[in-house]
Amino acid sequence: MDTLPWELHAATALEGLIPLFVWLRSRLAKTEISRPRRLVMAWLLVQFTSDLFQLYTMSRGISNLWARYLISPTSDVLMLYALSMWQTHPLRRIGIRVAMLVLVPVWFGYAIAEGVGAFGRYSDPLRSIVILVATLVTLVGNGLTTTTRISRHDWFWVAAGVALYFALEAALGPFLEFIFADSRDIALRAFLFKARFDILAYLLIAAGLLCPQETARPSGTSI
Amino acid sequence: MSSGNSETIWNLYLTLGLAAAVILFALISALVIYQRRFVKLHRTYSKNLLSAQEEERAWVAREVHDDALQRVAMLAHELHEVADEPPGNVDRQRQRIGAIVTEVEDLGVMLRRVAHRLHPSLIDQAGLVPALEGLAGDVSRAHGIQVDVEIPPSNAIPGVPRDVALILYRIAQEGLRNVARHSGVKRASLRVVPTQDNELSLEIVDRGRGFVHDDHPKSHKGLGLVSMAERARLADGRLEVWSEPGKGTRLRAIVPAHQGEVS
Ligand SMILES: Nc1ncnc2c1ncn2[C@@H]1O[C@H](COP(=O)(O)OP(=O)(O)OP(=O)(O)O)[C@@H](O)[C@H]1O
Ligand SMILES: [Mg+2]
Repeated sequence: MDTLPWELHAATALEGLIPLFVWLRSRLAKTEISRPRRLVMAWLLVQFTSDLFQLYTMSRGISNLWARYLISPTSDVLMLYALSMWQTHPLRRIGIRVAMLVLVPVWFGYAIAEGVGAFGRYSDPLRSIVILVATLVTLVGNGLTTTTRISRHDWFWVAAGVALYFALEAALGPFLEFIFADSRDIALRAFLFKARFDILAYLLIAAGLLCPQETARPSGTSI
Repeated sequence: MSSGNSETIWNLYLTLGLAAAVILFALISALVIYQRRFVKLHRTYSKNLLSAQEEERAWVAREVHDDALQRVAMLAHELHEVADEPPGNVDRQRQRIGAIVTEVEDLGVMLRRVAHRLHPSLIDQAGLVPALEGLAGDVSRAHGIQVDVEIPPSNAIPGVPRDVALILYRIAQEGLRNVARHSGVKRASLRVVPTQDNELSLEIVDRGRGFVHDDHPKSHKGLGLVSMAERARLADGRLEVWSEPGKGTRLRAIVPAHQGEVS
């Protein structure tokens, strides 16, 4: 598959390299990685595995459409749970966890109704929108209540990166499918456009995973 | 082609609608769940508060009845004996009266302790800063804990009204009591710092065993943290708790300060 543009390879490589690097650094510095950070690392690894699997099956001409039914719910649960753990107010924490529990079955129903052949044309934007809203809730809700500089918080960088990732996913997904039939060229350009921003999104997430951790976790007693 | 287009648009609407439905459902459920927990938390809080007040009263009653009244009875008895004693043995009388004076003084100390527990008068007399310093001293003596006090001079911190000062004093009292009871270390620090937003922050830090803190009512067996948060809220402020097992505890009460009032 050496005909694929470098952006795609770079995005995939980052998905695998970032968790590896974060893990190695914590080993060397003998620090523990906080639980939401570990979940985000797992999310990246799921993206990585899924991309590798797709490359492999594509090169062999095997159908890989069914894999979405496994990968999408897993990665959504990981990401939403990580975001929920970062909330400074219990109301938002509960809300994101409920959204996570509701999203999975609703998404399943929609994806099955849509059919395997639809490539998740509409069911994928559904999950993207829900996760996008969860990241915005994190940024605004936590941002308004923090008493320290916002750029010092890991959730800020991670939520910004994830928001970027899923905003493009939600916006470009159906668009791509829509125009794919008309112009292969535009579709490819949009695809590359997304891949470049994915790289940026992953770098933002990496910045969050690498920023110094508070020794003690602020907890929601700010009544 | 046009039927394909309208189907696409319909599907997009359906997607947006489903996403909105999921989000709305999550929002409403979260509100319901959170509100229920909040009510439950407050119900246990007021129940605990009631029993704590009862306990406080029981303590005062015990002190006054079992201790003070016993001593008064004994003093009365001794005074009677002195009065009934035939005159002459001046030395012996002087000795007995001396003993009685010591006992009266002891009684005074004990009663002051009771009164002080009911209301720390030092705040009224001398202000918040000396009261906190006194408290740190009391804790050091009573529990053998070294309290590093770091408070700027009275004129360097913005003033707070008397009731807010009392609230801060009570929070410090409970915070230090928790250090003595739970932290497992013999050292803590007490800091008062003015913030940039014209607020006053009171911080109690220990490097002890720490604890896992969340806002689930089940974990709120004690009354201390809840009542500290409640007190801070009464002063239009807030309480922040940082703690992690093995890493110690940091408690911060932040209340708004008002310019030009006594501290
Ligand atoms: N400084 C501290 N170090 C370690 N653990 C603490 C500290 N402060 C509080 N805790 C933990 O938090 C729990 C709750 O504290 P809280 O003050 O609310 O209740 P309590 O001290 O157990 O009871 P109460 O204050 O009502 O008499 C404590 O039981 C203890 O486990
Ligand atoms: Mg306590």
